[in-house]
Amino acid sequence: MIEKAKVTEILSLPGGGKTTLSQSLSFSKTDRVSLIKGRSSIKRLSQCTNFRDYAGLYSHLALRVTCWVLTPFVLIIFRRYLVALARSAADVRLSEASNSRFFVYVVGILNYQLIRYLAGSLFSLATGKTVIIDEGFLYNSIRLQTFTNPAVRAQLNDALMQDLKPFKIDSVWLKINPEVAARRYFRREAGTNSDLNVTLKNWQFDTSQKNWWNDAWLQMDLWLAQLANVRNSKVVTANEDLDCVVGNFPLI
Amino acid sequence: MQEKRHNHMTTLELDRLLAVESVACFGLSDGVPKSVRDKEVGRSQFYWSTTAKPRDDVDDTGPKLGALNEISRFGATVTFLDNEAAKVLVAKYPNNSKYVLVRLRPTLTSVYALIGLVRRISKRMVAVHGVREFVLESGKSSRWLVIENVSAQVQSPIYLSIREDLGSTGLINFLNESNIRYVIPRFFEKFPALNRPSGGDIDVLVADEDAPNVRNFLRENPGRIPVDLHTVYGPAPGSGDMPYYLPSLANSMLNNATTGPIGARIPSPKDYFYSFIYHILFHKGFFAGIPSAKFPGAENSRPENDYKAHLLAIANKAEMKAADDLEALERILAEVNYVPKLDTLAAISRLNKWVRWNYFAGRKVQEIGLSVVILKEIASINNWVDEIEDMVRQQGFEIIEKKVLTDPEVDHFARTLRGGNWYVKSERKEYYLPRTAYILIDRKQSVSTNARSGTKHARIRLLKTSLRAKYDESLDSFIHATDDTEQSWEYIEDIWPDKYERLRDNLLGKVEAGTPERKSLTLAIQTMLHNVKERLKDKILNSYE
Repeated sequence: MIEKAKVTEILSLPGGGKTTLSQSLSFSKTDRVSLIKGRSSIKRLSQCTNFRDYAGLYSHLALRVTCWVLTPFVLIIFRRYLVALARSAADVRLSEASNSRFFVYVVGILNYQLIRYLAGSLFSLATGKTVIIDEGFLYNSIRLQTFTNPAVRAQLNDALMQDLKPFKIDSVWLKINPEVAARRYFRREAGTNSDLNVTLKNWQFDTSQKNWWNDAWLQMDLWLAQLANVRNSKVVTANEDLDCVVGNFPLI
Repeated sequence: MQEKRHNHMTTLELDRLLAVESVACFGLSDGVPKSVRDKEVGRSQFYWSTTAKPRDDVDDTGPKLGALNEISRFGATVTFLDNEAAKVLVAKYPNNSKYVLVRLRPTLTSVYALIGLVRRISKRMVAVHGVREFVLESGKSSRWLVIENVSAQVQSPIYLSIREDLGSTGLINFLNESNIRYVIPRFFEKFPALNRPSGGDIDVLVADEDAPNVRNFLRENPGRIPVDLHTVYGPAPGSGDMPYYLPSLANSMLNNATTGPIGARIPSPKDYFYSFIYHILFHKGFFAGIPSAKFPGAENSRPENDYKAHLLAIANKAEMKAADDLEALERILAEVNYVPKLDTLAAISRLNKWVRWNYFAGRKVQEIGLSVVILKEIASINNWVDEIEDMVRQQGFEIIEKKVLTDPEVDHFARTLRGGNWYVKSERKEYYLPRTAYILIDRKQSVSTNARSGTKHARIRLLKTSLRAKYDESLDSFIHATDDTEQSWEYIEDIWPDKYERLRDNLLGKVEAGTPERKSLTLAIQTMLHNVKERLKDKILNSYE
């Protein structure tokens, strides 16, 4: 049971069941959990066919005023990470997009996450409920790692972890067999309108080999383990056969 | 008076088509038009709106409408669009249908549809023939706007049918007696019975010149058994309007056909093996239910046929070795050059997720603004070539190479480039064969932020659009261009094989050494407006009310 934590994230691999679990918890009878959805907005971004690369995403973010109102705070709070980005940008290409675009994208996405975090904290304060933020700040750090150049990935992530320290976000690591998560992920993507091309183009994994997914999901699992360690996350295990969590979930 | 008569003729023709030809309804929510539901001959398919609620007075036991861009692949002769399906008037419009009927409803979708309709009317692509009333199966009356596709891309439908009393035997007898060059590409093993007793169909591949004869026979004998009539070069809606098979494979199937059950012409064991793999990969993709090594779990767990078992049986007969996953099957086809080129794959990928993911997902290509542009014969006949070259240069493209194709080359490239699809509606088909080929490099590539693979934002598409606007806006385009650098390299290797290596070295060096030109204000505005238009279309297609 998490006693004082008010803002929580569920961490898991793509296809691990984060959103499903978050939603089912928010619908549970305990009436103690609320959910700030992530997929609806994130998915809308990724599903639109015009967001084929950062250029599209950048343009979209540029139009969303909400993504920029907290920029001064983002620049202060995430100064280590942004400075690390700027320094690395002098030597390497940071991502699939140009360095300037990636920088703007990162500032935009940090704005977006900061707004969600503040909204979640305020809501929690007002209602006394635990708020789950789906794909919030912590999971976003995994996402950013998938996007960034392997040569500078670790040092950038260290800086981001430093910047994220002041945020009171509890986390639960939903452990799942990477192969099962990958299968679920591809099944889901095949059954929707979403464009996996966007994701894979931006992921800094070599997708040309037939078993690329095995390495990719194992790599992401390792990052999650490191993140869970840094954030002292609670750990639960997914029951892959029954599509549920083994044992008591710490929020209930 | 004349218009009234024309509308009356349209009504009669529409009634005839509704009665005997293929009809597809999309986005239904309160029932199927009764006359379509009661149809006794020809094909009919119903797809319900994603927002449709169950009703007692309506039989809505059918699939929900998936992605809107799939509507065009059905190629039904008459298409009904209701609710969100009406948005395809903006983009992804079913050009293959002779008539499109749009349900009149006071919704936001109708506003979008109206915008698309006005655009299509202004371009003289469609004509409106008033409003028709149809009684739905629930007894409710419904009003539909009747739109005729004046420039229907396919006037010769491939989705036909045959009477049950004739069945496969009647069809095969006709094909044999009429000396038609044909082959039944698959699932002929149980003839005269169909492979699937309920919902099964008959596929026929015929030589293009024999297709009208077969089509007439089927039109004279429409019935409940669906027949898909494919040709070697004709566009197939389910293959992104590319030919149904790679023409080299289709020709091999026709040339080497043997005799099978009930005297049907069937592919040789080897051709059957390769064509069935082609069918699995490029017609079915994940729907075949065969696992993918690159995207595990994405395969359909309940395919309509047991493709895996069937492939194994075919492989045994051909003394070939099948494979367990889609990517390994692709390698088998690659060894015999039966994998389509990138431009064909790009067209197929619009409807086939495995193709999209396997060939295009995660693809990181060095886009250097290279294009191969092919002008068709009609450009030479009309003396447009010099002017076009000037316009190309004015728009910031440099012509690196030019080649006027000889007659044998025209014949060869018409069969190999663009998936062999040089089909046009015009009767002067020879005017629309490739004649002059150019290699262009976009000198403004480095400042063109949207020159992306396969999207409509690339500058070469803008060039193509402006050339067509100036010379000929009919659907029978006089120009063909590759969409990106990777496709262009494939074309260059084919058209300039002896220069390929040298050109590759030169061009890559030239791009690296070149200084980018500044983007002019006109170009910037033009690109921006084009992007806004494309994004608006995407937005409308992806929005839900």
